[in-house]
This record gives sequence, structure tokens and C-alpha cells, in this order.
Amino acid sequence: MLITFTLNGVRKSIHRDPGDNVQPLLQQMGIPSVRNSDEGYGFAGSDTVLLDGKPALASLLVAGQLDGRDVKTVESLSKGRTLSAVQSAMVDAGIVQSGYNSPAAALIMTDLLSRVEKPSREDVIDAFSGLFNRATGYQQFFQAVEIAAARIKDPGYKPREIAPEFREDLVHVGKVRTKVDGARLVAGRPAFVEDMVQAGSLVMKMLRSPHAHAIITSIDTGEAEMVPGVELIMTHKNTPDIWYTQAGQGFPEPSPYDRRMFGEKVLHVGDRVAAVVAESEEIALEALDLIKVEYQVLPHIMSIEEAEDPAAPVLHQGEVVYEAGAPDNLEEINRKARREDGKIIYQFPIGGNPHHNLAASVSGGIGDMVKGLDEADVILERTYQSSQIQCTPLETHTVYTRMEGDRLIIHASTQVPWHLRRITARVLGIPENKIRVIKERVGGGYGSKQDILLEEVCAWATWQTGKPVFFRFTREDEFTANSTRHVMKISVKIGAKKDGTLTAVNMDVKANTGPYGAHCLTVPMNACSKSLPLFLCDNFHFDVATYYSNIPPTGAYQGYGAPKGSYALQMAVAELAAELGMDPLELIEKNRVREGSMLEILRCLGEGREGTPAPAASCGLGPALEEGARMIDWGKREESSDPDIKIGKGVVIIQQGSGLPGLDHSGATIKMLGDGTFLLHSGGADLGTGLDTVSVKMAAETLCTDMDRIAIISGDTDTTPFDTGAYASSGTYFSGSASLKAAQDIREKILSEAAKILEEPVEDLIIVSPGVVKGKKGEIDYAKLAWHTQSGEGAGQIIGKASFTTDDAAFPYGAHFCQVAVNTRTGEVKIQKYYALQDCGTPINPELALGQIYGGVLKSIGHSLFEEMKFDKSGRCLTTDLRSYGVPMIGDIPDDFQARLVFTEDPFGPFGGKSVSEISVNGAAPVIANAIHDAAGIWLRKWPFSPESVLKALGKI
Amino acid sequence: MQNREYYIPDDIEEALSLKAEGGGEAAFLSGGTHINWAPVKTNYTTLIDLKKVVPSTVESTRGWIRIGARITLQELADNPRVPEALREGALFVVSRQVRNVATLGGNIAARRTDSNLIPALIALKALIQLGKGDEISVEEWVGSRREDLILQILIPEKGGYVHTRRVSRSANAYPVICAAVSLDREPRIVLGGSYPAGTRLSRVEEALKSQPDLARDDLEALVRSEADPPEDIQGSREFKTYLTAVTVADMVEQCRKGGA
Repeated sequence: MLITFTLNGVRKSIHRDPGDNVQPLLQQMGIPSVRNSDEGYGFAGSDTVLLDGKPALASLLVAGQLDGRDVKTVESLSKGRTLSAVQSAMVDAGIVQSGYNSPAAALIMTDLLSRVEKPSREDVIDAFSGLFNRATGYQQFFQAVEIAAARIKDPGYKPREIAPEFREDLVHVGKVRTKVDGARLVAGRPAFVEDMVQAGSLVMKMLRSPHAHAIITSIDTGEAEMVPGVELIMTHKNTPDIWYTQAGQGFPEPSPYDRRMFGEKVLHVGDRVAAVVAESEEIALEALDLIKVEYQVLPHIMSIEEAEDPAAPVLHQGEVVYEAGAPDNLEEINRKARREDGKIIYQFPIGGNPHHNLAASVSGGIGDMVKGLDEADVILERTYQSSQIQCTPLETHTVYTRMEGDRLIIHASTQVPWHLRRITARVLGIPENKIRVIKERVGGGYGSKQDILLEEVCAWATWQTGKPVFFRFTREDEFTANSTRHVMKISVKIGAKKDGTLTAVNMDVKANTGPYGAHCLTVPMNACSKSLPLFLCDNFHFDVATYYSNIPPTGAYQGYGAPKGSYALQMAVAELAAELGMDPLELIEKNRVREGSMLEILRCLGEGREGTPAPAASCGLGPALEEGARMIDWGKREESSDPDIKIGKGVVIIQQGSGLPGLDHSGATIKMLGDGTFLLHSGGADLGTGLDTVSVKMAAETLCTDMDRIAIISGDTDTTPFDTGAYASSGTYFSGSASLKAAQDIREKILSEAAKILEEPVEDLIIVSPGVVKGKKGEIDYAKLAWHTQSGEGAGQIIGKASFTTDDAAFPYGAHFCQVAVNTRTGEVKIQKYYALQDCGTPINPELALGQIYGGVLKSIGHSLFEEMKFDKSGRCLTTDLRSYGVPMIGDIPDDFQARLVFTEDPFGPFGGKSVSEISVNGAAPVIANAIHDAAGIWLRKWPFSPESVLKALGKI
Repeated sequence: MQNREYYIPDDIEEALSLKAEGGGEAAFLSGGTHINWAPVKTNYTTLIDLKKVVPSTVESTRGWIRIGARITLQELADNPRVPEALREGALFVVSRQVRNVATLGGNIAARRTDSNLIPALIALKALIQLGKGDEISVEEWVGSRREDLILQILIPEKGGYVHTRRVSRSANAYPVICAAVSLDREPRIVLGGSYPAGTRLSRVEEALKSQPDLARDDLEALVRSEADPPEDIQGSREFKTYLTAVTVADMVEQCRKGGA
């Protein structure tokens, strides 16, 4: 059909099949920004365009419908490299985070402001009702709209305050500044993996297991291979017999190497069976259908209880191998090994007993629990359960691999470029110098892109064929083959005196790691290590046991076990307060950590090795609790005019870490260019959180120059120094510190060279803005310095370099308060107020920090109230789309939603900065549950707090 | 789906003729938000675009409000001449991007259970005018498997007060219950969501007809005895039955207060 329509003001006439979906059509026409987040489910809104001037979803249109219509995409909003008022307002307000669907948001906001001059809160909520944004929490959208509305009238408009600023002694750090990648993302420029795919690249599609637990007894790819256009088909028969872990962790990993690229056994619905690499997606899917697989279906298990049963079917009954620390009875264990189960390799003991479905276990503690419980006047024992929660990044997992000469280039959406390179090299059996990993912009990670879920498969395909291959998870794959939160059942036994002083706390953590053991030790341990140190008690003990099962795979998700541990312990503390007849805030105040407290419990909470006690060198819990209590009018009982509605309030304290002292390692180099500007090479992986902006600020601050005098390249294993990766809240503290140290190093060298040129002692020189070295007698600016040093007689280009490791810990803290209205008739829980007050030391990027808090809180409101994976009896997930899974949208944000930054002076963080993103997911579940109890007198000890669970607890059903 | 035939007929006869030729493999295309929606996965080889054939205007004539079937849900929500229950029903389709394209006729044709429009229309005692000129009730349409061309929706101007409600776990989730209640001379309790589109609680309606002041507890008990929701990922049968009972009882109360 000849289809004639207007695209961004230009008339287009194209011959297309009228049934072609408009979203990929527009991308093929050169509009990368109309993105696919949900395969035509019409939910996420990343495919928003303006159709005849109104926001519409491209994936719900077919080509024939475009005839005679007008289509506008983000490219229509501005000319050249400028940004429209809406786009610049979005960047300024801090709502361009990963940016994957920022172009869609820009179109929606533009439409809103064309209809309504001064949009109300309801107008904004209505306008964005069809846009899923996992990262931002939506709250700052209201401010972005205000700024845009004002800027449309006055292009020079600057709001008085976008976010609070900190550190009057600094120029850039602690101040609201432009996110360095914001413009590129909001303008919809090519930035993501899918934008890098060259024409003619092959496409990979994966055949996935329909069974939760089965042996592949035969697999016949003959007919599939005959399909014209099929390049390669991969199965367990022709892929490396290398066992590894998909967990992106430092080597040696505390996760078992329990999978092959393709196994003879499948261990979950959605597990890899075969991959087809073909000239197009259509051909690949056609070939996929022709692969004949026979299975011997085995019984499956889904829960911790089933896995614990001695009679349970065993998932990993292969040969057990230890690189170090093998138990004495290893030979006896291996007599029962089954060939088809392959191997399981431990780098060192993690307390696993795989032939009994035990993936990992550990125990530890301080003090004397028996004594502690004896001293208690009250002992409470409760069990709390969390559920399997998906990360749901807007950009599904995706990778593009190609050869460049004899080197493999991996364009990845990853949090861990170096772990990815290392693991891929090992699996492919090639040296690391044959691989380059380029981290492109990441459309949401949240931990799920810390794991190597698809990159090694695609890499192997390219290595075999010599051709470029593109592979992208569908949204359904994101639910069946992604890495989720670990499911946990945590029993807390807590003893206290009548006056509320804690005498003993025991946490018994049972976790369900799913079919593979990525993070199986460290995530459940973190449930303890990021909750117990919030309280000061002489007697702590924990037991952790993680089991294998046939649920979809788990892994790392923001919080990394802490949300579950926080839920259990904070709930137990609240229940204890109720038991003692005490105000929960008073109980918290009585026992909480304070600045300077020595956290002895950390001795037993290392990541697979002995930990180190550390002081809480900075702790803003005091002011956070005080301010939050004032904001929510703590202690005042609120009443509703509706007798069925009960209102209650809750409070919790939270913490996280800032990277992994003793384990993490970050590097950076910085070069002075010929004109005195700088190029910073940071190993850090910016996931949209603003890490690049942090690094640029570090350098600009240290070198007394403007931020736009520092350009940054990051996350490229060829061109930037090693960095362990963006996880465990390491960005600011580790990667930022490396950038700071590199800047300090080049600063020293600048002064040294300037001293020679100026013929003055180094001690007499200072650097002043905008990049001038001043002595007592003379001065030289960076441009002249560069000319001197890079001339034929010069000393050489000035380059600073640094790596950052540390044993010092910087803990971020927070206090979350909320007020809920529980409808005791319908079970609905409405969050009326949510106040998140967080101490991240010096907030390096204040407006982005607030956005991270809002985003983290809304994600965790999601897992507390709405999100749920449901399965049928065969182990198949039934909720494999965003809508049925239940992600929160703008209509779900609290009525009064505020994030506050509490300043503390941390001695260790770069310019005093501590982490701020990951901690934000730890508060919602316990604070909402506590508020529900305050409202309706029921304790909800299992996620999610659905209307059905509320009604059951109330005895209504 | 590709390799499709795509037609843009100039008049109703041509549209009907194309449909007759294509049979079950041909579909009328209005906004396309149902046919093109991934979960539906339709295999129509012929699409008949109705943009020149079906109106989208709103008029009042001879005691009826006549709404062209190609009106988008957003246009419906924005038009003050449209009964409030229907405007609310349109807004219960939470995504504005979807409302800008989805049409009332398409929604009815698709018999969407996740929308309040069908319950609202049945409660409003609405009729639909089909391409061949005949008129049937929305209720009759929903209960059939007809695939006629829908031209207009006709709503009595003096239809009485109708209260609608949507109950879901989160803002954009699939609704557990879509409901419309009217307490006119002929009470109507119409459900969707977990229920097949256009489900009516006829025993409850009868009871309300004979006892307009039926007490809340008795009403809830009656609803519980008649409602028959499936157990699925949205909840247990017990939960849904309970929730249906309290929701309907509250809506009846609302109608008693807000009756025209």
C-alpha cells in the first residue's frame, strides 16, 4: 500500500504492508526515540507519538492508519541541537534519568501545555497516565511542568529553587547543575544499544523451556537449519562446556558456577533451550518453531518449604567441584552425581549443599544470644515473607555484538562492563584483550543488568560466525528469564527490657534463589547486614539458608536483600513497641545507631569473607527522624469522616552501604587537552542515575573550572580504567572518588608544571576559577599550560590517574514516614502521605538525588501494595506483562509525596558524598505495614498488602 | 500482522460488502487499539478502515443522544452532552494516549471486559444502530457474537442517574470489578472486569425493584449469592464475591443519594 503522511512536518510517501506496526516502522524511518518497552501491550508509553496533534501509541497503530495523518515525534520539538522549553525544563527538574522514554514524556508534556496553560495536579496525572517510568517516581514531573509552562512564556525563565543546595564552600558539588547526558537523552538522540545496530546485522531469538524442570532427551535442529537465512543454531550440543555464574560480582565470586550456556537440563519455565541466529526476526522465529525438542519432565518445586523437604526433587545433582576449601566428604558427595546435571563449581565454600537444594548458607553473630534473651522482659518471635519482584526496566535486556578485526566488540546495556568482559572471555575461551565492552546508555538497570543474562550467548554467536548479532529480550522474557528479588522468609526473634532496650535480636533468613545461584549468599546476607546495624545491641545472631527451586531466576535488584531484611526487622521492632505499649518512634530512638557508633556486627557480615567492624562515621538519623515527625505531625491521630476509613501513621529507619569496602575498585584518568579543557575517562557505569555528572563535578570542582570544560567517557573497557561496576551503591563513593583522586593527581601535576614555567615554588601557587594557576609573581591559564607542555619542547600531555579502594565505610541513612487510609470495607490502602528523609552526606547532585529517592520509594510502594508474580501449577508465570504484574504508575503516587535530603559531614565520601539511590527502596514495605497496623490494628507480614490480604486480616473474608 | 489487505471504503454499502466478502478474516477498523493490541493477537487478513463511513459526532434528536461510533474515548470524556456515566466510563480507561485513539464503537465491538463503557451503556439502556439500519440494545449485542458495523450509539435523554465504579489494585491494573448501577423504574446492576461484559445481577435487580429500600446487609447477601466470579490472578472467588457485594451495595447507596 502507498501510504502518504506527514512526519515531523515533512510529507512522506512509503510503500509498506498496511499491517506493519508503526513503532518499528518509525524506527526504520530513522526515528530511534519511538521505543518499544512492551511489545504492543499499549501500557508503557515509550512509543508515544503525536498523531494529528494528540498523544497516541505507535505500537497500537498499523501503517495503513497513517495515511493522510500527521505524525510528530520528539524531533519536531526543537531545531538543530537546541532543546525546547519543555525539554530543558525536564532536564533542569531532574526527570531525565535513564532517558529511555524521556522523548515520550516530552511529547506528552508538550501536548499538555498546549491544552492547559497552568496544569493542575490532576491535569498532570491525567496527561502522564499512560507513561510508565520506573526510575523517577513521577513526583518531580509536577515541577518540570511548572518550569516548562513558565519557560514557554519566558525562554529565559529560571526557577528560584529546583532543589535545595548544599556546601556553600563548593561551586558545583551540592548544587543543581545540568545532567551531562540529559540533553542527548531528552532529544531522543541515538544512545542505547538498539541504536548502534548496523543494517544487515543478524538477529538472535531464544527458544525457551515450557517446563519448570526437565531433561532435554532430544533436540533436532535439522529442519530449522534449512530455513533460508538461518546462520547458526545453538544448543547444548554445540556450545561451550564451561560452567559459570551469571552474577556480575568480583572474582572469585561468592556465587556457584552452576550453569552452562545451554544445559541438558532446564530448570525453570523460560530457561534457555536453543538460540537461532538469522537474517531477520521473522526468519529466526520461523526457525525456532521448527526445532524439535523432547523432554523428560521432572517434578518441580517452587517454594522454600518444598525445597527444604528431604524428599524434594534435586535441581543440581551434578559433580561438585571446589577451587578452594573442599569439604572432606566431597568424594562421597559426588558418588551421587548425575551426568545430565553437569557440574557446580565453588570458588570457595559458601555453605552450599546442592544435592539437597541448599545453594548457600552462613551463620554469625556477636555477643551471647542465650544471655540476651534471658535478660529480656519481653520476647517476640515473628515471621515475615517477601515475594518475587521484577526490576521491570523500560529498556529490556539487550546486547549487540560484532567483530572488529580479530576483536569482539560488545555493545551492552550493563552495570558491569569488566565483569561482563571477564565472564565472556572465560566462557568463550579467549583472552580478555580480544574483547571490548562498551556500556551504552542504559534504559534502566536496577540490579538486573548487574548479571550477564544474554551477552555471552550473543558474543559466542558473533565469535563463531564473524558477523554482528543483535539480541533483545521481549517483555515476556523479562518476566521469565530476568533476575528478580530473592524470595525470603525471615523469622525475627527479638528481646527487650520493659523500657524498650533491646537485649537480643536473631534473624533467621530463608531465601529462594530460583534455579541458579547468582547472588545466593550475598543477597540474603545483605538482608541482615543492612538492617541489624541500625540498632545497637550487644547480642545479634543471624542464620541464612538459600534454597534452589524452579521459579524464574533471581539475582540482584536495588536494595540487594535489604528491603526484605528491613521489612522483617522494622516490623518486628514495631510489633515489639506495640507489645510494650510504647510509641514505635520512641523505641527506635532508644536503640538506634548514632554518629560515631561502632558497628561490631559487621565483623560477621562480609560478602563471602570476614567483614570489618566500622563506625557510623556520619549518621543523619537524628535530624531525619525529628524533621519527619514534625512533617507528619507524629502522635496526632487523624480521623476520616467516613466510618469505614481508618487512618494510621508509620515510621521506619533504613540504611544501605556505599559500595563494598575491601572489595570494590574504581579507576579514572584525566587528560588535559590542547586548549586547556579536559577529557575524563571514568570506569564507572552510569545507569542514568547521574554518575557521569558526579564524576564531572568532582573534576570541575578540583580543577576550579566549569563543568563544560570537562568531557567524560565512561564504562568502556578499552578506553577507561577498570571499575568493578555500578552495584552495591558504589557509584558516588567509588567511581566518584576515583574521578576525584584522578583530578587531584592532575592538579598536582598542573601545579608542578606551572611552577617550572612560572619559575616559582609550587607552594606559592594556587588554582583559581576559571582554570588559572596563580603565583606570587605571575600566572598561567590551562590553555597556555597545555600549549607549553604539549609543544616540541614540552614535558608531555598532563595526565592524571588514580584508582580508588578503601576499607572505610560510609553508610547512608534514612527515616521514612507514611500516613495511610485503610478502607476497612474494601481493603483498599491509600497512601495519603509519604515522607522520605535521607542522609547521603553531601548530595552531589541534589535534584537527581531527590529523583532517585522518589523512584526508589515508588518502586517499593509497588512491591508492597501492587506487584505480584503469579504462577500456575506447572510453574509457568501468568503475569508476564507490566499491567497484569501491577507496576505502579503516576496514578499511584502518594497524595503528599516528599523527599528530603538531610546533610551530614562524612569524612570518607568524595566531598562528603554517600550513596542515595539503593537505600531508597528499603523503607516502603515496613513503613506502610506499620501505618496499616496503626490504622486498622492488623499486622501484614507478607507482600503484597493487597486488598484481599487486608480483608483477610480484618476477618472480612 | 503483515500481508494484510487494507481498505478505506467511501460508504456503508462498500464497507458491508467488503466485510461480507472477507467473512471471519475481515475486520472493521476504528481506532485499532483492540485489534492491534498484542494480547488479542488477531489474525485478520483484511482491515476495513471506517474513517470515511462512521460518524463521530454527538447530537440530540427526538429524545435520544446520538453518538457516532468513531468518537474517541477522550472526545467522549470531554463532551458535556454525553451522559456523565459514559464520560466517567471513558476516563476509567486510564491511559490518555489510548483514549485519544480508542473509539466507543470499537470498545463495544470488542466486548472489552476491562472497560466500564459497556456496563454504563447497559445501565443507560443504550441502543446501537448497526450498518444495515437496525437497532439493538447494547446488552443484546454483548450477548451475541455478531460482527456487524456499529454506526451510532443511542442513549435516551431521560435515562436517569447511573453511577459507575472501577475497582482495581492499582491505577492502571486490570479492573477486578467494573460496575454500573441505575435505580430507575427498572434497576440495573451491570458488571464487567472479572465478569463477562454485560453481566447483570438480575435477582438483585428484581429485589430492588420490589423493595427499593432494601437494607445494605440484605443487599450484600443477595449479591454474594448471585455473583459468580472466577478465581484467577486477580484474586480468590471469595474475595471477588465479597468485593462485588460491598461495591454494589455502596453504589446503590450512591444512586439513592444522587438519583435524578
